[in-house]
Amino acid sequence: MTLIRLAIRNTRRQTRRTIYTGLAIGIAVAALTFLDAYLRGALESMVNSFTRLDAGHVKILPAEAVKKSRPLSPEEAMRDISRLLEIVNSTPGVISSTPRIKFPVLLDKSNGSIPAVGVGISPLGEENFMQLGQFIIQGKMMSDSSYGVVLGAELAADLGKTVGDELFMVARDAFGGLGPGLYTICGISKTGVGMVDRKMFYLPLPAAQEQLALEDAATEVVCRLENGLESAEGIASQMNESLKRAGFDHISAVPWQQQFALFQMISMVGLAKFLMMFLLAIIALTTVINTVLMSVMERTREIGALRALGFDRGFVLRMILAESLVVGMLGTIFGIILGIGVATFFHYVGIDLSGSLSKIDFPIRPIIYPHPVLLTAIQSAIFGLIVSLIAAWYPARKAVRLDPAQALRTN
Amino acid sequence: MKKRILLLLCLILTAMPLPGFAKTAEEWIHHIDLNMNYMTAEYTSTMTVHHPNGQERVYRMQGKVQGDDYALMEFLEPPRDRGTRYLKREKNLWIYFPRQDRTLQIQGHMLRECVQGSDLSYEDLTESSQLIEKYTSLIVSETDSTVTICLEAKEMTVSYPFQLLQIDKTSGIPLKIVYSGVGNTPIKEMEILQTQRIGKRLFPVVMEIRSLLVENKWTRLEFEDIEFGMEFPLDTFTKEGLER
Repeated sequence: MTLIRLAIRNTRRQTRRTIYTGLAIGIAVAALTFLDAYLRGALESMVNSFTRLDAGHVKILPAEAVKKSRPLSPEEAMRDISRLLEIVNSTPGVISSTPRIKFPVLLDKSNGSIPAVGVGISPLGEENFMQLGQFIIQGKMMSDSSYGVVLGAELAADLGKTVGDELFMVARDAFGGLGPGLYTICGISKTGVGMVDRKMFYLPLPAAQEQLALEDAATEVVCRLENGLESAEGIASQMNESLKRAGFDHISAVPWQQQFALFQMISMVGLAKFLMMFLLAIIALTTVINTVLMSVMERTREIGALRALGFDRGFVLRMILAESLVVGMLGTIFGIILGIGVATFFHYVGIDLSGSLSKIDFPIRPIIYPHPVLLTAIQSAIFGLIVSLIAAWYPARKAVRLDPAQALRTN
Repeated sequence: MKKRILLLLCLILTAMPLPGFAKTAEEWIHHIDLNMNYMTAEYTSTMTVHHPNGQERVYRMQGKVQGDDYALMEFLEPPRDRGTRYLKREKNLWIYFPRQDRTLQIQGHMLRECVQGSDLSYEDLTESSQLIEKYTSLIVSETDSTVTICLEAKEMTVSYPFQLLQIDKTSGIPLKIVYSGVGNTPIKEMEILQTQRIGKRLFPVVMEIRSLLVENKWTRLEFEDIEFGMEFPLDTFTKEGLER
């Protein structure tokens, strides 16, 4: 208790230095708090967009395609899809499932052709997933039996097409040959997800099956589950067993966490967070070490007097560490309040990154809403306190090594 | 007596296969070019594509080729592809789809994509160029009946920068060709199963092309009918001709 009181008193002796040191820690803690909330928000947005637009909670696809990030070729599509859907839908916990055919395609343009990705969907089935209808900005959604397509807004602009125009395309069919298709553009969508708006178009599943000679086949089946984000892994393994029993040997049910693209993104976010933490710690450490070291140097005689009066090295060490801890605690409290405050503000306002995110080939919405949680504050507090202790360690060691007689003679 | 001995010596010497009398790599390649290369050709062929899953698909087509730059090909079978036509003009390819009455243009590297899932690219089917102009050649091994020659492209822009040809010494026609990509990685091999004398040339009419990248995948190409050296009307290799 004496030590704490002494530490508090000492921090008051050089108020300005205490404020600078506290601010350095506070700003690092605030930056970390905000960064954590921001990355949490970005990750939640990614998971939400990814599971809705692409992955579902569980995606069923050919086993060899699990680690591929490109669309499968029609030759690799899963057959006997009606029976597969029966098995999937009878798995406990599955709310709904829908098949899709995703395929690379060349779209006819007046002076050549451009590559794009076609997605054959069942408009009704997708109501529990991508809900494409709500993103249509012009025209209307296609029906199951039509030859209508919905084009991403940027893709439509690139092609110079609008609602009512014909769209001619050629894709590789199930035999490796060319599957031509002629459709009418019935709608233009803007999801806000760069890759979807720039590269993709949607067409009715039966039309895609006909164009690619893929009767009763699909390249993937997505499933929505009760408590999907938590239960996906367990239900996926149940599905895998049922599929194997039914003779679907080369087909895998993959929970959203294990899907290649998202797995890569989660790893990247984790790495980015670690690097930022490391950088912030270095900045905070250099500032705090500097100020604590200055404080020790200025108080060389005082430390010498304390040692001469009989206070042992351990006491001096604890005293300096306690001082740093007090400053660190003040800075951390300030940093957490600032970081959580800014993160909460942007949680409601959002951070618009449409300029840069639209170029990323990953289903993520361009407005990020940081999401501060209690864990963010706890993590930042631990960071602030550890940084202050580490920063004080070197100056404290230097202080305890002083010879009392020599220290007393110091001017 | 001296004259007789001299005559006998001459006869023996001319009958001996002296090394100096063996064909060089360039001569073998020139011989292949004389037989297999043409300025113009018109053909009907059948292509059987065997997929790794055991599925087999048979395509029948007819085509006209003029050198490296111009070709027109039309599918006759199966019904799904009937009437689909390809026009190649230099480095551009147009494909006409009769059911949609639409033409799509593809360019550049797309020409190296496989035709109808086969092991032949659009370039393979629509080009005829002199090997001697595009490759340097080197004999790598020789037996009594065959000679093996390695070809290396003078410019790496060709479809297959390396080729290994096993040539039958009697006919001068390759028995097998291994096509390799950059870094000499084998891509596919072609086995010539049957040749036919057409005019002055000996031309391969049945061949099997096997992928070396995908297991159990091969294509058999049979020329039912092929003629060389004709002249085509000026509008044969035009977009109008394609859509006619």
